[in-house]
Amino acid sequence: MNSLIFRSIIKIVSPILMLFSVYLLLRGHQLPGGGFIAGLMTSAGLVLIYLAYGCERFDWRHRSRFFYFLFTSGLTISFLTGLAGLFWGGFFLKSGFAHVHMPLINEDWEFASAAVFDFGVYLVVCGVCVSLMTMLGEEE
Amino acid sequence: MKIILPLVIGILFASGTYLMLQKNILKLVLGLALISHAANVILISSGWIGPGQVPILGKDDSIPFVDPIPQALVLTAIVIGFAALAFLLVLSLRVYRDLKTSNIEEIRGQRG
Amino acid sequence: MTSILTIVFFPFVASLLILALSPVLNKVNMGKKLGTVVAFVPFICLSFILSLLPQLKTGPPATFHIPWVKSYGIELSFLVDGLSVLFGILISGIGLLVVIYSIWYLSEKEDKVKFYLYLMMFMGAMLGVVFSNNLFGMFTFWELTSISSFLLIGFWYHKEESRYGAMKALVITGLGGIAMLAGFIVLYQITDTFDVTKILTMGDVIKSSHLYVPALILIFLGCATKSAQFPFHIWLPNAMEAPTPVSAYLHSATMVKAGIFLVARLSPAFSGTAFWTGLVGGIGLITMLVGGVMAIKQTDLKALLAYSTISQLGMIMAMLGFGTQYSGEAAIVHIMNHAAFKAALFMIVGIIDHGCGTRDLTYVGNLRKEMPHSFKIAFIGCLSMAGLPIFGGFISKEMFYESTLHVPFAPIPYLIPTVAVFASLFTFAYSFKFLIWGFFYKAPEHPPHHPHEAPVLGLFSPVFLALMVVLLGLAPSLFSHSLLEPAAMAVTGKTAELHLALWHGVNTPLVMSFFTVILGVVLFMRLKKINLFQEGISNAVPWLSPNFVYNKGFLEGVPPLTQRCLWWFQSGYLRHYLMAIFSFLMISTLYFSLSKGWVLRLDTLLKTEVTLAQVATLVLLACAALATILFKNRISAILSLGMTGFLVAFLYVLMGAPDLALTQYLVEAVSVILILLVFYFVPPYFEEKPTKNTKAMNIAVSVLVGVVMTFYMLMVMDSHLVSSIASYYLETSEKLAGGRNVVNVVIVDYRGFDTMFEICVFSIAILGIYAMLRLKKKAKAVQEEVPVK
Repeated sequence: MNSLIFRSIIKIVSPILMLFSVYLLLRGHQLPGGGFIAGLMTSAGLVLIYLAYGCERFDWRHRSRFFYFLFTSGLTISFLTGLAGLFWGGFFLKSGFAHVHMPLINEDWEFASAAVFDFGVYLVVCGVCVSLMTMLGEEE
Repeated sequence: MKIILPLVIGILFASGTYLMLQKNILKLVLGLALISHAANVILISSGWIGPGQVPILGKDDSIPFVDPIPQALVLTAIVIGFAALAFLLVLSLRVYRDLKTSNIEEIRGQRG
Repeated sequence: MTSILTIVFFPFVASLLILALSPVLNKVNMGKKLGTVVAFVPFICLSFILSLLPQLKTGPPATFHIPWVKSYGIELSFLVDGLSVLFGILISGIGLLVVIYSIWYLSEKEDKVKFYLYLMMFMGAMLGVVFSNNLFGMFTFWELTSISSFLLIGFWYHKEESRYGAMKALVITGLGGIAMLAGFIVLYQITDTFDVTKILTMGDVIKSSHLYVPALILIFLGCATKSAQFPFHIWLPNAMEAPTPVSAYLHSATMVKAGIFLVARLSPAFSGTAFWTGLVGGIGLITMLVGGVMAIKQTDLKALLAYSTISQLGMIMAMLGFGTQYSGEAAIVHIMNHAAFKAALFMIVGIIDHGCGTRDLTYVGNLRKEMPHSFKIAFIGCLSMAGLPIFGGFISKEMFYESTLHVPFAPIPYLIPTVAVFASLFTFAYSFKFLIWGFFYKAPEHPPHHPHEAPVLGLFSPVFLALMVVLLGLAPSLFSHSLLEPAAMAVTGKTAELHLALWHGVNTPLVMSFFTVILGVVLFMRLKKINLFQEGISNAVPWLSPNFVYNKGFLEGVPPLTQRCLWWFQSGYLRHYLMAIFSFLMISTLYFSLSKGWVLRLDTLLKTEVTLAQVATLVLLACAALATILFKNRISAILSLGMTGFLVAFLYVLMGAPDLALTQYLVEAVSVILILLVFYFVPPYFEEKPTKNTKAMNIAVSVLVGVVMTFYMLMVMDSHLVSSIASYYLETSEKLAGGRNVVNVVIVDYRGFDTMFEICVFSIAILGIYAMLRLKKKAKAVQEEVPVK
């Protein structure tokens, strides 16, 4: 798998995938996208890098803790969003949103609590997928 | 569509079942994946009433929308299905490592 | 209300407290303290029950309801009438005496915490049985008494006989309990209620129903197993492996009377037919005779008492079976008498056991000098049991004789009185065997240690009971008006007036008693020869005993049978399970969709328009799915599975679900990589070589699944049975959640909980995977445990 062509393609494709996944995450509330899709896309990008380069550029083997940290913190963030709903909204996972006027670009931006929740989902999906792949990759 | 879709779902189910009945543990996993595809398609088609609009608001709300609820359910199902698939795959790997076989009929415990 | 709840649940609370405190209690050396504290539980129950006494005479039976399963009419409801109060006094009163006795009986090293825990559990359950006004509540408590009896018989579980006895008791009473439950359900079919008071008023309906006989037989099976009636009596002698306080309490005075209680409780509704008299009375008389015949054979004093209990229970059952008013009253009087003298005698056996180290008559004898107090108590108890004057047993024996003279539906005149006298001969003989052999004759062997009398603490309870026996004979009116009359009223359904006295003038029962004594003495004189003869019979024809059926038929026959059935069901082949599951699921789906009257309307199905893209996707999807199973090469199979996934995703696009399509594409990509990674470690497909049959079955099952699912889809797609709540989501999505993509809004806002749990499942899956991949050190241990064929 670590042929030159593959590597060169990955070099270009992976960053695009990552950026695109962030875009998908942010627009999830309005257009197709959201935490699951973005998480899967990010992990697809990371897995491609892993397949192409193995442990040359980045030693995945000793970073697995980082991915565990990713999904546990994702769970925590989602749970805390739920708790916030309990405090301010009256019941667990109550969501809310607000429109804020941005001074410089002169636009109305929407901030929704669901976006934070979705970010938690994103972290969980991403962490789980990548730790799964690296765990399997370390088997030899 | 309404005639072909059930037929195709039937084929998906039948081939999934056939794979699950084989002896190889990996075929079992593949069969499960096929069946979960079929189940998802059933759910989605139950909300599909024919040509309708994608359930994203803001364009022209007069055209009827496709039912969003089955879609939300299936989205969850796909992701859970992925987790289950991964789990089963690793389970079969571990079974092979420990018992040195991927034949289900050899894995079964002894009687008594 | 509070008093009845206290009576029934206080013992349970006490046992829970003992359980909760057991870690502390087990550490400290508490000596006699625990028993002293526990004794307050029956004392409190007893005083509450006694406080119920005054209202028995004045008012109608009181009931209390606490709803449980409302829709089925199952509730926790309690009934306070003469019968339940009589039994309540027996249970809590003897319970109190037994706890006091056990303080002396249990030595330092016994596990007292466990003992009192079980004992209190039993007491609560038994009180629950007698006070229940709902058949289901009664059944629950009934089974609890079986379980606590099992635990108490197996108290010394290190002994083989204890385990055997406990198991036997549980099997027999448990099976009887199941029959009884079925009987209750049949009874419900007749009366449409589980309420005891209502059932008691419906006697005519019940007796005229065609379900009367099955209901009676099933319920009576429960009663007969519990009350050790022939041929189910075999568990009681083995139950004597329990500590003696337990035998005195459960297996003579209270639990074995639960069956008697239920028969008495239901007799106003069931009695008065030839079938009732034949079944209950007949079984009762047979049991009385068999118990007596077996009892005179025993040399173990406790076994002797066990068989005598069987015989006495048979006698009470027979009296209830006769079904006249007089016999009902006689039964009540004898329940009281028997409880008093039998508990006293059991406690004496416990004292003998303690004092001599054995209770076998081949070692124990001539105790009247060494154990003067025990002798006096045994004297009173045995004479009462034999039915000799001035003691309570005499009164009830006379009443028994009197009632045998007026049995309705009697097949041959004088048969029943003759049988009664004949059975009573044995009663007389075993009572005197206990007394004379134990306290006068010299034993052939020496006991393990020199006999000594028990201290005051051990003697208190039997002395008290002996006093009651004397009082029941000399001053029965003390009990008859306030306690026995209301109880008799509950059994017979009519106002009862008891005239209990020792002397009624010269009448037939007195003559019968006279004959009993004369012939009984003759029988006792020949006892050794008769015992030898009995020994010869049981050696010659061992299959005559129901024990033979239990040991050979049940213990040796049933486990292999169940094992064979189990092996048939649990073949251990995943394929068999899957085939069973799939076939059942498909056939039931087919059945229910057809029974709902769903029809295929092909005309509307054919009308809908089709685009080329849709048809092409679907056809390709079918091909990819088939390719997955047809490829012999696994890489191709995985790729065609991936293909299936991508085509499904494309189908989502066509069906207006862009989010799904995106997710499916990505999941499919990641899954294919994952599968390839795993397959890298696992060897390629092996040749399966299925037999023709296997292959045909596999194909048949998969085709069945495919056809049924197609059929089901065809019917489902055409019918929108339920209106969707989608319109609500579509309308409020932007207003409430500020999102335009309704699918995502549903996921993160409306149904946030689903998603929350979903990511939890996701994380749990990875934890499981982590465990499987990383925790290798235990792999070897696992390998040794799971044998590979």
